[in-house]
Amino acid sequence: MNAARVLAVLALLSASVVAVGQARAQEPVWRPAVSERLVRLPAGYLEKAVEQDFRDSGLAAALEANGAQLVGQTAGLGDLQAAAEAAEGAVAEEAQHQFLIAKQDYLRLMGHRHDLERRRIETQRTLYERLLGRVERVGDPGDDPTLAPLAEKRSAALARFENSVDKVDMALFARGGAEESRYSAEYRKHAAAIEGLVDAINAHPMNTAPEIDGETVGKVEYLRHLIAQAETEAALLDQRELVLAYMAKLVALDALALADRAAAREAEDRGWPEIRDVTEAVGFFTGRP
Amino acid sequence: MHRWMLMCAVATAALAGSFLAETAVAGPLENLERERARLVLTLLDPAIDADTRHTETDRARRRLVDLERVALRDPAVRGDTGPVARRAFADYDLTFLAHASIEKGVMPLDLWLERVGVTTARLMAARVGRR
Repeated sequence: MNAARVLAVLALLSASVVAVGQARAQEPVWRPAVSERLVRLPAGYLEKAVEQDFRDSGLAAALEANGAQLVGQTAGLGDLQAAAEAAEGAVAEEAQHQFLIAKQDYLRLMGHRHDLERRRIETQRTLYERLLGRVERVGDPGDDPTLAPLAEKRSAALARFENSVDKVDMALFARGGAEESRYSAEYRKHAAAIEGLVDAINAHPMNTAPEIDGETVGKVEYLRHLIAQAETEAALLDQRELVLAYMAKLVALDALALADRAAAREAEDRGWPEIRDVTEAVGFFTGRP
Repeated sequence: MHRWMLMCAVATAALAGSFLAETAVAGPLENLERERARLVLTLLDPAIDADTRHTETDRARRRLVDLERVALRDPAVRGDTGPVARRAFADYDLTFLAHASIEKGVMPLDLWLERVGVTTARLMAARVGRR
């Protein structure tokens, strides 16, 4: 008998574990990867790339669907509130009941939205923290300090070369015997076009360095800023959840009050037998009327 | 029999090596280095007469000028941080020999010899002897 009970409890437990597992498997997720591409992206484009990755996720789709439901629910709340305030008598009670149910649905939807938003914020924060760790560990590929001397030498070489180009051309081609090479002629034609395109790329808003309070910052600093932003978003979400909890408390109190009123009205309608005071029954016991 | 198999293996390895060498793609810096070496060889070659040397040097120098410009302007070279690039930009005069020699108004050979440490003073001070 005991064994049968234990087996039954175990079956129930395993069924609930399977159910929880299935529910988790169906939960909308966003799994961004700290890819090499993300690490190498310009800091100014990083946040947009993460946002784009999120928009393509199941979590974003769930948030969108929840938002659509909430818009409909909020619109219905206004109508129900107006109806509950305008109704009288038994109809008023029914309208208030409907209004309470609608508020409860709204709270459920908003609570679900907060859960989804918390998941998004936590995933985002984790992603930025991992990115920051990687950039700090391996360094920003864009500004490797060990490459600085090479970049300086290359810049110096290019500057020296540009200064000597005319002199070299004069020495080689001004003698009349030698013609300008095909490379030089073609290069000059393309150089102006390339310069214009490079200027356009440098001035492109998607290629600008990120700014915090009007000051340009590096990738590490910008990632720290994004992590702090995620922290503040989480704190604001906590506050919104507190508001939601107070709303739920009010709905519960309203429901209690409504139930109380309904019970009182029912009692009044049914009527209670009138019980007289015990002293009025003394005559039955003493034999005196 | 064993020797024959060994020879086959060596021949196969040599063929494979030559195939790999042919399929390897040289970058602008490698091409520049090869052309510069050819120019220096022409300048130092005692077997050719002065006129031939002058003609070949002139042609090689113009080709070298183009290759130096390609190497300096190529975006791939700008992003290259490998040992070849590090060595190339460590000494402008030696790597960009054609431009540097015209800029300084000296012959490419004189500049090359100076950069590799062979100067007139050192040659004059040198003594013939056995190590």
